[in-house]
Amino acid sequence: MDSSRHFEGKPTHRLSVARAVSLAIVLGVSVLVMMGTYGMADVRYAEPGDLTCSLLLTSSGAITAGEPVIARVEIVNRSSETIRIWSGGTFLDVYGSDGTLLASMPRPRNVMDFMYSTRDLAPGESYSKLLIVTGLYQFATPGTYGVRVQQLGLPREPAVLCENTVSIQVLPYSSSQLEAACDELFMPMRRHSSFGDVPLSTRAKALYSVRDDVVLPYLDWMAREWGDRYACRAMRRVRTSRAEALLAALTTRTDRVGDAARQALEMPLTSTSWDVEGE
Amino acid sequence: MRGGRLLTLVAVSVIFGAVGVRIAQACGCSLNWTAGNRAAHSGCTAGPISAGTVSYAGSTLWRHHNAPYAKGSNSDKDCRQDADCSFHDIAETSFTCSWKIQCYVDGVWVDVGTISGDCTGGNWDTTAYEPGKEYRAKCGTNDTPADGPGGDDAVAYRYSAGQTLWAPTVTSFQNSVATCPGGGVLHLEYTWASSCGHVAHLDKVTVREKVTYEPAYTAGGWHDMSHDGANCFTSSVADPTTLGVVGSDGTGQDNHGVPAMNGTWASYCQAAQVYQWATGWPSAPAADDESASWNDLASYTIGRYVENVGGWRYRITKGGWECTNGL
Repeated sequence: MDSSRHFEGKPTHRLSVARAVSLAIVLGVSVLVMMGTYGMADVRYAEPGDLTCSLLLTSSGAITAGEPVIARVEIVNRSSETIRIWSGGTFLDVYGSDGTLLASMPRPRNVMDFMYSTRDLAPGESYSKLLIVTGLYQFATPGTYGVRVQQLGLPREPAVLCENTVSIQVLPYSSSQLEAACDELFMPMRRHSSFGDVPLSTRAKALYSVRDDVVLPYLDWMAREWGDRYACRAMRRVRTSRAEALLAALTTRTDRVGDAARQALEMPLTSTSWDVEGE
Repeated sequence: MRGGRLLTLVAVSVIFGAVGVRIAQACGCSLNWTAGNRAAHSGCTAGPISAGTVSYAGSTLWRHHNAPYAKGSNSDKDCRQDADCSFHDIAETSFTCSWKIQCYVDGVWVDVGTISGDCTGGNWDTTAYEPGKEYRAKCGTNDTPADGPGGDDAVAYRYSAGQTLWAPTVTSFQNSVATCPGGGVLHLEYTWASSCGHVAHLDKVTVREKVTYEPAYTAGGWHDMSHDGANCFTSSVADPTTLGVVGSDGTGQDNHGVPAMNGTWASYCQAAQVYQWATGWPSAPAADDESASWNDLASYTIGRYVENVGGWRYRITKGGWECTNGL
């Protein structure tokens, strides 16, 4: 029996010792070559039960209506081996006090060609990221809300690997409190000072998420200082006459600020994952 | 009354005592300092602080780096009048230096931040500063207040040459892994580097794929892969599909999946894929933001087939890669 027939899977009991050794070497080398060529991963993807998720919204658990909210999500590998998670696989949902789903980060669907990045977590290792909750839902009405975080797995029909829900109390609107919250986010930008635990882009996105005239001076500064089209789009999202007038004034400029304002007029207003994802 | 006389006596004694001191000093000169020189200061050459030059001591000025500035030595002479009324140059022995960063805005240099440094040099952490603008370091040199009164010079400012702060760019984009994990899926992995040498500094960069499907069968942003029944594929996909990862990840993965099928007959669907990067400020741009300035990294044609090769199979091709799955 020749080797080709053997490789077709026809069994034989007449394999010589020499052939057996050769075959073992060939097979071993083949596996190594495949691993080298195709980069077979030695780290498995996380499965349900491997992870825990925690979510910290605010230190006090309460905000005033309309305030920007940044959540810190921590995902911990509770398994005994190194596992791989989808870096972009963290999703938020917001519920009313009666359990009604109010807003949900869209999960990818029907993605045929799916680019993503991953992160490997050693046993016990945690992965922390910031999410701008108000990029998804602005808490305009006082009351109690639930915010759920889910970490999804790959690939196309992703399983929920871990989830956690915390409640947040929304107190009545206070323009001075809202201004103080905006100031706290903004001042390190203006001073070029340390951003502390909240990086620049997360601060900027949190300000973009405010839907109140109070935020307009901050957006105006970002637009003028950086030619920031996302700040200009945030003005559109405020949807007040003052915001519209401010944006209209910027569009008349002939510099990059004017370019940004005009670009913002063409941008969709719907919130996407980008509005929620911090660093 | 007696008390009033006593007070008067004490006051007169104090005044005369002071006058006595002044008269005693008038025999010579009191110690006196001047920062500069006057015609009457015979023997003095004192002048303003001669501050050393400020220059950038690094290579390309990248965002997210520590930018070093060198500072030349300072010198200064003050004029001192001694008790014998002669004038002498006294060299300053110590200086203080404070550093700021300036940005060129509308034709004017404006202070935009304070940086660390001393009289030998400064160090600017560029992380929080917008790339694409022109910056320079400003060093203010002051003499120390240990001199006598009148010996303080004005602060002397020196500036580095203005330089553009550069945002790092994506380089060395390449495929690192290709596998057929099964079921007809093609899995690819890519890596890239940063022009500044630190891929972690690409935090304001988005690396994305933009996949455009054959356009004739797209409506409302969704592409019908059945091509009105010509294909056995039934999936509907976002067209274009724009998905991205943050540049600082340094790696991205790409899964090319298998469409749902309704039966088996010869079918073909094609897509054009391009990998691109763009940078933004203060955030990395959204993957679907077409107003960002996207730069191409690599382009591919993705082909999906159902074909009979002595048995029906699904096949996907992209570049030189191919995965198959029996049907």
